[in-house]
Amino acid sequence: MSGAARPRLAVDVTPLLDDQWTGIPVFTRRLVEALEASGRVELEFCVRLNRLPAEPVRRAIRMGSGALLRALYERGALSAAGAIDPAVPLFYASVKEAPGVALREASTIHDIGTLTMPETHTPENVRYHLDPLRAQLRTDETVFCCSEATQAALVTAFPWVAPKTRVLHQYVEWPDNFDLLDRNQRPIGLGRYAVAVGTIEPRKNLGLLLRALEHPQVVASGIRFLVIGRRGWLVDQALSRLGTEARKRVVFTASSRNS
Amino acid sequence: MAGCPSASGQRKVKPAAQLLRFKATPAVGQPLLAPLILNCGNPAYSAQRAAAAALHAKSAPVAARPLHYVLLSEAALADPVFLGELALLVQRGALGVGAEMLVLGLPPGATPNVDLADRIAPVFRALADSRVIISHATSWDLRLATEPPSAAEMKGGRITLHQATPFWRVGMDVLSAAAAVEVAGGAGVRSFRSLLGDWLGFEPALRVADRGAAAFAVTAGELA
Repeated sequence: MSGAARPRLAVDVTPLLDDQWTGIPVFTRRLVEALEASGRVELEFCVRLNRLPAEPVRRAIRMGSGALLRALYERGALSAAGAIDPAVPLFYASVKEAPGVALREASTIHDIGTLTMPETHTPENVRYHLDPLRAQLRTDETVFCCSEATQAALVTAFPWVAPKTRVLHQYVEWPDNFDLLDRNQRPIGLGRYAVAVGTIEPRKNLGLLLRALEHPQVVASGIRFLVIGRRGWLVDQALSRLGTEARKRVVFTASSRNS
Repeated sequence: MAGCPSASGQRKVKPAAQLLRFKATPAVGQPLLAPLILNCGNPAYSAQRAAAAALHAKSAPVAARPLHYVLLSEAALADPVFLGELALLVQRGALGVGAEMLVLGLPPGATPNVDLADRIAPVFRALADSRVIISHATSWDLRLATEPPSAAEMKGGRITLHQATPFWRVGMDVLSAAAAVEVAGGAGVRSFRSLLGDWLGFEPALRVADRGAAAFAVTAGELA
């Protein structure tokens, strides 16, 4: 006996083409995993209106990096899958670059900082997010927001979007045995550190934290500042304001998965 | 010959217009059709691939939908309003979206024997520059044509013309077979519509850009 055919759903996984997955690529990975685990839809993957074979996408998810997937995509090695079928509902994990192509569309708003705080972004970033934003919202059947705060900010700027917004939490990964892991953690004797985790960009107030390093009390404490995360944008400006001594107490690590 | 006195008392003569129109579209070159194969990262190579896949019009897959013929020229492609609209048409046409099949009339080459790839390349370069996302899959749902479709193929279809295209090369057989003739573009489109109306004998429609679908920036505080 065969079960009823599951509805098809295409997910635009463009964020997975990033080398280092933080923020939105992590959200995209978790979204794909959750949809596959639900078993309620027949998933298809696409990038910029081109279908992708499922196996390279799943391999990228296992590897936790999109470097290989992007290389294959840009070389045209994945083009045999053809273009998307506009009749299949299309769900964008982030920015909708081609609004109004599929019959049913939904997209995800991660934040509208490019609209409300454009000074903390590069002009290219602002243009990438804002140029298609109105058309993105207009053509969406549902607009997913990654937090209540994002939903509130979006609805403040675009009140007419309110009825079709939904909140979709996917960022926090909290293992069931976290308390146990935390209790059994061996103390680390590395001295005093302040740690910031996340993509390094002005909106995360990194500049303010860096300037705090020059406060006399912080200087006296000998605290060091550890920054864990992918290098974002406008970082050099923040660092250029630091004095030589303060700069010595800032440590940048490599990217951390899920940061 | 009509005439009327001018303000200076001299007779102002307006001779009847001699409409230089082709009754039947002249066959200029070999009618070839190429599929859309456009990787926006490399339009020149894409043009070579599309040219290599071109077929004689009689051998190409049959169009199952009415045609939407858009005649192009490099000057028309330099009109940002026209290009923006064209790129959105191509985006949807490449996916088979819509009731019509898009046929792009390639710009004439600089010389009579220009390579097909060299006629396709400016179109692909312009589309790549438009920043509109277009699938890079091979698609016969959209064709690039060296010659206008025949009157029989054009029956019930639509023709879009820009003022900077050699529209006079399309004969009245094809123009009258189409269900609609429209003009598109930015500056000067209304005067071109008037001129084309005189030339055709009927007023063509004015294609209004789909501003809702086109990409343009939003601003803070908008309450639309």
